[in-house]
Formats: sequence, structure tokens, C-alpha cells
Amino acid sequence: MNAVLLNFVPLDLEKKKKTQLRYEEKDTRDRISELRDDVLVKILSFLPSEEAVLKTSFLSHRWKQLWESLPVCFDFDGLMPVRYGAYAKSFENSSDYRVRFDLDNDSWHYVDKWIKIAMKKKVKRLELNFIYFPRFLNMYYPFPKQCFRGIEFLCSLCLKHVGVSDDVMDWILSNCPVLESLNIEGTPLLRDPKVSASSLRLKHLHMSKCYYVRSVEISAPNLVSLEYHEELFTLHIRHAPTLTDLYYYSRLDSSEYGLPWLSNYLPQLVTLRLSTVLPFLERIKFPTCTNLRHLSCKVAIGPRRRLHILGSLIEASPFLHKFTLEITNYDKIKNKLSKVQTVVECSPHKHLKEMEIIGFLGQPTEVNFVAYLLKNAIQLEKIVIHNGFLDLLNRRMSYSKEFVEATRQIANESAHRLMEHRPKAELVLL
Amino acid sequence: MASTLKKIILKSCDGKILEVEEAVAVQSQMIKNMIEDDCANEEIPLPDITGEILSMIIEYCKMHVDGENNSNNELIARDADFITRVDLNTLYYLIVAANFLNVKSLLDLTCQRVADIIKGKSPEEIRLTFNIKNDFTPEEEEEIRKKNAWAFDYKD
Repeated sequence: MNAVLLNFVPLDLEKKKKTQLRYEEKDTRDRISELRDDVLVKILSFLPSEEAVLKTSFLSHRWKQLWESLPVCFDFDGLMPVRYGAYAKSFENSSDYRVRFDLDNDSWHYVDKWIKIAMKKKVKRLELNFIYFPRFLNMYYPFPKQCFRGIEFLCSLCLKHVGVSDDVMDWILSNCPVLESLNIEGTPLLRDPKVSASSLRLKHLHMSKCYYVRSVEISAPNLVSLEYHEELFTLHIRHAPTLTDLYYYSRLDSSEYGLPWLSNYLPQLVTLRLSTVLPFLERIKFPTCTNLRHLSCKVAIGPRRRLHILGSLIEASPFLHKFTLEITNYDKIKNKLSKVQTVVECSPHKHLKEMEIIGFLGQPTEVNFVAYLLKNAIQLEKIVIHNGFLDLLNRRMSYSKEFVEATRQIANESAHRLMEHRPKAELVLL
Repeated sequence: MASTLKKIILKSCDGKILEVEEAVAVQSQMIKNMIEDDCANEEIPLPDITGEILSMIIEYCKMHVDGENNSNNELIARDADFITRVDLNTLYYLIVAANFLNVKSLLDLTCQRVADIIKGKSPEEIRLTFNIKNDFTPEEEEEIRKKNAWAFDYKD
């Protein structure tokens, strides 16, 4: 008798022994490996993920390949191979619940079920990410409100490519009394969401890729950080007395609209990250930003754009500690060393200690601005300059290899030369 | 319920003819689709399923139809009783057939059974159990071991 039959003793030995049903043909063929991929995956889905990977990828090439062909992510917080569905078993003691997977038509049923289980377990953090929906299709997972019985225990909710409408958002906010972090990404249903309630505990709000939003109104007494990406013309913060971190990303020239409230909030911000176009900044009147410690700007410069507006923001922030500038240069790249023109002097900046310039190509606009920064930051300890060489290589415009290499040299050379303006500071070239 | 008395005729690959009540047969999504498409009036040939396996599947489906009014626990107990009486070769043929006929609950049950057999065994024991040939070279094996190093922390 071969080892195979050892496995078929009934689990309950005390039960009266029944006739074993046996198929006549008994041989030593490896039948299990002949099963179709989807069937094998189904089998694996009944195993805890760690055990499934650990063991079965060692069996043979067939099984190893199976794993490699699967669009499955593993996490140590109890994620399973889910493409073909599985029971949520391995996160029993976890208050975290993460579901990430590739969708097929059968998935809906499982997702709904898992959400229900998660809610039943009173999870504190829930993240649903349906990132594989192609953006152009505007597809999304409909928010399954009926599955969210138990939502009142959530502290953190992240919904990516889930159909969150204004109503749903409102429902979430009014049903999650302890919610502190809300992350909404990629919903085509939001139009004019309102984040407001006097009792709102919400501390962190992140919204991005909500392409059809017309306006957002925020009135949140405990809000600390706000992150907003993409096109938003009428973000309006009415009341956010504790807001200290603002990340605002918009590549559109929303200068027409501006952010009228921004001037009001600048004085209380500690961290400000902006990714925007320069004309947008030109329309803001900078008040004195006494609390600002970290400023990070991502800008594109073109033929007519200078960076001086950023200088005004720095000058308005007397206690700024770290300034990071990320440049994408759309100007015509000149392949020669540029000289520093007249450096504008202003009242010296006494607190700026660290600077980081990313995407530096040694072009006139950049060189002049960095010279200005170095000259005025009298306490500067360290400047990190990332050569824009890689960025240039990635650009679709076709530069010859020689040209790119020459630009790299020029950028490095001008970085060294610029240090004449602040010889005591350390230069780190990356 | 006259319609439930309608019989569906199934023919196994070894020529066995089985008459099955429609209510039982529609446990198979495939057959259900055929009935809906009006393609099940004559005998349905099942090229990869032997008479013995087919009888077992019908027994299983019948058990589920008859047990519709029973409690969930009772059904689970019956499922367990059914599946533990099945040997590995049979289990394999049941999986293939359940997949072909699309009997979801049976496919779940059989796959779960295989998973249970895998559970708690070392890779070598799994190979022995299923006759899986280790076709890795020692170097390849070492490489996978390294790649999955994290997984070795796994506790039994």
C-alpha cells in the first residue's frame, strides 16, 4: 500500500467505519499537478497565505510557476491569495484588515463578505483599494453600505476606487464617531462633498484623483493634516483651527481661482507641501508664516518662469528650517556653464538649516535661485543637490547621450561653484 | 411541483446512463445552463466523468437537495462525512468533475479537503502524499529558499 491512503482515515475515528469509496485505478501518477491552474489556486486559497507560499512553491516547477503567475500580494497582516476568492481566516486576531487584489467577476461577492466579517470583528483600520480599475473606464467598486454594520469602530478608512458619492461621504462621517483618518481616492462620484460636523474627530484627510469634484468644503475642528491631489478649483477650508500640515498638489493653473483661504491658514501651518504651477503662487499674498518649519515645493519652470516667487514665501517664513525644491525644467536646456547674475539680497534668513534641490540641471534660472538661497541663508548647514540627469534621460524629448552626460557635468560643476556663496555649508551631490 | 419531477439523463464516459431529477441536476451550474438553454432534453454526454464518479456526484447533490431544510451544521457534518470517505485518486476525479459540471459547493468541499491534507505537512511530505516529483536542481532549490527566506519563520 502506498502512502496515499494514509490520508483517508476519517477524521472522526469513533464514527462507525464506513466503506471507503475508492476509485479502481490506483497508480502513482501525480494527478494533483495536472489540475487546472484555477483549481489549484482554489485549493491554495484554503490555506493561510504564508503556509501556502512557503510549502507549495517548493514542491516543483509547476507549483512555483503557479505562484509566479498569480497577481497576488502578500502581506504579513493576513492577506490571502484572493483572485478566486477565499475565506477570511488568517486575520482573526488582527484589528487591521487589508484587502488588495485583482478583480474578476466573482470577486464582488467575496469582497462584500469580507467587509462584513471585518465589520463584525470591529476592525479599526480598513483599506479597500481597487486600483486595477482602469482610470479611463471610470469604473469603481460600488460602496456596499449594507455591509458596513459596525463601521462606528473605524479609526481609519481608506477607499481607493470605491464609489464614494457626496451622500456616502456624509454617511461615513456621520456614522464613524471615532474616525481619525479618511483617505478617498479615485471616485468619480464625488461632486461637492462637505466635510463638516462640529464633533468631527477627523485628524487626517486625504483626497486624490476625484476628477469630478467641483468643490470641497471643510470645517473640521480637529483636522491636523490635509492632502489634496489633482484638479480642485474650489477647495474651501472654513474652519480648521488645528490644521498644521497641508499637502496641496495641483498641476493646473488654478491661478484664476486661487485658494482665498490659504493666506488665512499659512500662519498656522508647520508643514506645507506644494506641487503646483508658479502663477498659482503669484496670486497668493503671503502673510508672515511664523510656524512654518518645512516647506516643500514641486514646480515646473519654463522659458518665462522664474523661481523668485518661492523666495518671497521663504522670506515670509522666518523660522523655516528645511526647504525642499523639486524642479522639472521645461526650458530649453543649455549645455554650458551659466554665470550667476546679480543676486538679490534680502534680510538674512537665520533659521534655514537644510536645503534640498531635486532635478538640478545647472540652468540659469536654477543657478540664480540657488545662489540667492545660499547667499541669504546665513545659518545653512547642509545643501543636498540631486542632479537632474536621470530626469532628463527619462524625458521623452530625445537628447543624445553625449548631451545628457555633458549636462550632468555642467550641473555638478555649477553646484560646486555655487558653494562659493556659502562655503561653510556642506554640499552633498547625488 | 411537477417540474421537479422532470428527469435529466446523463451519460458517463464509460456508457453508464443515469436519470436524475431536475432539482438535483441543477446543482450543477453547467446542467442548469443547459436546461435554461433548452439543450437538456436528450441525454447529456459527459466525456470525462466515469459512471462511478458521476454516481458520487449525484449522491452529493441529492444530499444537498434533500438536506435543504436541515440546519447548516447538519449539512456541514454530512459534507464532512462524505468527503472523508473519499480516497485521494477519487478526490482528484471528483475535483475535475465538480469543476467541469460547475457544482460550486462540491468544488469548495473537495478543494478544502486537499488543502486540509496539505496543512501541517512539510514540502517533502506533501510530495510523497501526492506523488509530486521534485524537479528542482539543488541550486534552484537554494534560490527559492533564499527568495522566500521570510517564509521560513513560519511556525507550525
